[in-house]
Amino acid sequence: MLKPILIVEDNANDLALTLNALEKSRLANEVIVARDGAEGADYLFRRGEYADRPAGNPAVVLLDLKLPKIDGLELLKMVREHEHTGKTPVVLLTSSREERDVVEGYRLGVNAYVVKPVEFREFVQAIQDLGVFWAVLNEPPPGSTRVIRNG
Amino acid sequence: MGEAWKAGETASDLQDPAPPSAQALAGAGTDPALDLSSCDREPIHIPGSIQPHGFLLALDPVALTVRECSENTAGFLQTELSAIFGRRLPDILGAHGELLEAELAPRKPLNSPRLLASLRLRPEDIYSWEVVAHRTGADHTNAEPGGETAERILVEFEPTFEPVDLEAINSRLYNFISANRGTRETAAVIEAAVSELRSLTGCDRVVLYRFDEEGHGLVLAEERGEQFASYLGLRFPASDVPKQARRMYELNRVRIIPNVDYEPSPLVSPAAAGSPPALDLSASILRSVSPVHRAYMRNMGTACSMSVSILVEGALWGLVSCHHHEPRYVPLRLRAACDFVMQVVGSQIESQQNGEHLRRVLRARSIQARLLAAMAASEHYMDGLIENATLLMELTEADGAAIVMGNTVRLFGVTPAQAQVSALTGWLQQGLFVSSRLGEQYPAGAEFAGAASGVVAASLSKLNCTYVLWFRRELVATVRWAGDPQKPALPDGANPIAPGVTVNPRRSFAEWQQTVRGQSAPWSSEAVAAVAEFRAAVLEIVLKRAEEMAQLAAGLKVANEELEAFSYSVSHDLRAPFRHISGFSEMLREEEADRMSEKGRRYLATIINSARFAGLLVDSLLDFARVARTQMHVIAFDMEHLVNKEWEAVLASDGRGRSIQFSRGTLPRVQGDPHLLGLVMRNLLANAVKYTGKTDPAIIEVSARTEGQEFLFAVKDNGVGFDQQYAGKLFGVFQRLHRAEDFEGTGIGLANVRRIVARHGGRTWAEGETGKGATFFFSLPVVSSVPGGE
Repeated sequence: MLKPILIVEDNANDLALTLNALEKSRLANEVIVARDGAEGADYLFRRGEYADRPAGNPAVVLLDLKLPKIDGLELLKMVREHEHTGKTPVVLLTSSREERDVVEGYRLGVNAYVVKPVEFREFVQAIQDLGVFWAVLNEPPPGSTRVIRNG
Repeated sequence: MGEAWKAGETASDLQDPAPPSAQALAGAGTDPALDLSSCDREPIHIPGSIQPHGFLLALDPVALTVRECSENTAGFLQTELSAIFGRRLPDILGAHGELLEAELAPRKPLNSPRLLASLRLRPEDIYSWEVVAHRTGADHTNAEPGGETAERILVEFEPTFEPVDLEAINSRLYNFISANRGTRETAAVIEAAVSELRSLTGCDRVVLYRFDEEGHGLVLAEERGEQFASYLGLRFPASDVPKQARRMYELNRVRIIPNVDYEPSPLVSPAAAGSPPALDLSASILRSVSPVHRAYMRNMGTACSMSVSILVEGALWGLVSCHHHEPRYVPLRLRAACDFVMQVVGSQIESQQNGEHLRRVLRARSIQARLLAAMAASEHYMDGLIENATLLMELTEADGAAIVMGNTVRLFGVTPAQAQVSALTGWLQQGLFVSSRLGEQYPAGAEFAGAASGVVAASLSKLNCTYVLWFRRELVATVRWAGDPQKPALPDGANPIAPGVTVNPRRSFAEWQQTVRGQSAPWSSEAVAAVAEFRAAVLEIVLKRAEEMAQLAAGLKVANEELEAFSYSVSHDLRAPFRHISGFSEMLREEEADRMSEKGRRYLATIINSARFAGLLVDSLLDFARVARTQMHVIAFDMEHLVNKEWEAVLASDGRGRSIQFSRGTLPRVQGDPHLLGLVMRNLLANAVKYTGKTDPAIIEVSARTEGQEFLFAVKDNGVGFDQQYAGKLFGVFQRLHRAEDFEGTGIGLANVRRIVARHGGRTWAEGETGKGATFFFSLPVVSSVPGGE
């Protein structure tokens, strides 16, 4: 069974664009959407409405930087510090090019950092690359299942 | 002069503060180093004898019995000494004694001499006695240098040979005060006082001295008979009045030696009691003076000498000395009148000095206020001083001034050379320095003694080595001494290096001139205080400025942080809608384009392009902001390498499929941030590529040359060029000289170029002609002024 992709994104438009891009990349993974940092944390740590979900980490977390309740960097920190999620790939997905975000993001152990491109094609390309990179081309960390790209 | 004026001379106080040596004396008869400071140690307050024109009884302070008396008492009282010792005054003087003892009652103060009575001891006496008493010894003693003195009540009897007309004296004093109350000039009051004292005493010559800072006495006024030499304007050396005499003169304001050729009458005590104890005669009216002083009087040719202290603010300001060629007994009551006159003079001087002091302080304050206002108004506070150098000099009434800031020395008025001032500040300590004889403390100062023998220096900042100095010229003073003060006071024929040589007073009081060099007019205490206040105020300004700067920096930091936060939210929030417009338009095109009209598809394309461009503009603006605040990492690097790299990048992205002739001249190594300067080169090269888009073949040249302290870089193309009259607009934010349809771009690139170059301390400009290409220049300092790692 393919591990799901978790998207933590509060902006409906960005979410629609991201989902559209993922659709085009034809990944077979289930996509879980969390609309703020707290919901993302609930999913990752199996709490609240996700308390009963089956165990296992997502194949990759696409994490927006600016999020209500718990922001992206905060959630990233929690993920990295938690023993079960410490090695889960996280991609910061944001429009910020600000240096300090990058530095801070990498300091907390983010796996990749993608500036959401305005250009739709570039955006799609980036998400596709990410999907391929983490779910197909990359050797997943132990405990993850290799994602087979849908032909 | 004064009662204890004694031998001679040492100019040692004047010129050579070092202790004298026998070797120094051996050289020549004119060596100044003869040590007369032994006179300072002579215990003149315990001479053990009195002048014989009166007599003294020393009473036990409790029992009021006679413990000691002057030997001449027996003669005056026509009795045996044995009939005096151990007796009380009534036992000795009968009814008179009872009267006197009543006056000694403990409740009446005796700390200073008090007139107990005027009386005739025997009916047949042709003259009366003034009886004066005071308490001495214990805490009344002069202490050093005679050691402990016995506690006694001294009762002194002084004869008055001629009756004194008290009413006449009172009216004289009344007139004197009336006449001089309104006099403002010290000189006029002094003249009047001297004249008054001469009439009161009838002495041949009355001389008034003022003591200067070194203690030398300068004759300010005199009244004399024509046959007597004038001392007016002459200076008597400080050593003429030993230190302990000065102290005594503050306590005992009037002293008299009626007849220099007296035989002192020793103080005696009963045989059984042994030799008499030391009695402090400081306040005594009959005290016998030092033999040296009597010799001094004889040398001056005076038989009678009386002196009256002038006290100003409780300190000895000067003396009036009355001389008479023959013995003269100035009665006690007349002496009291003289004392009264000189006390009036003293208080007059005191009020004038206070007035003058106040005037000077106010003047200094007003100058100081103007200087500080100028400093506070200047961007750099020292500029305020430099622009007001004349005022600065007036603060201390200086002839010249210097403002030293590190290696920069600014000179105003009469000053030493710059290098000399620099060296001097190197020698100075922090704080305040005051000297009117710089050469004595700072030997190198002798070189410029003419310009600056007097110096006041104030350090303002230790960090920047900032000093303000005031200078006063050398005042070559001609001092007219009353007799050569440098002539040793040796007895005739004495071997100057023989041990036990006694010191004799000088014999000549003839004028002797001396030229004093290496000193300036003394700095007034007000001037020194003004500088100290000024320094404190400036330090406060400096401190305040520093605080303001810190506050400003803190404010800037906050503003910068706010700007960053702003940029951050712009990048997130402003960019998002453009992204959405663009993204959804694309989706619309992909999914619905087939069903749209041609017109609709065109509109959609415009929406997509505009959204993309808007996103680009936001990015450009953020880049521009980032260029301004990105930290610079300055290193030395090779510009040729940088240009090659950037050209490859530009060619790959913008120059694909173009025919471009690119050439690069020899470029220097520079100091700067390679990343930021890379942006500069990329911008200029991309511009060159862009604006040669319609030229075939395009020619782009990069070159450099050195001019003075700058490297000048040029990027030249043969493109569309521009109208030179708009050259100034090129580097502005969002300034464009071409229509957007013709050449794409946000108009931010050159603004970034200018900003980056400016941060490196360089300049940017451009030359062009419409249709004939353009050349963009920028300069970089050969030596970077940008600190590395800033």
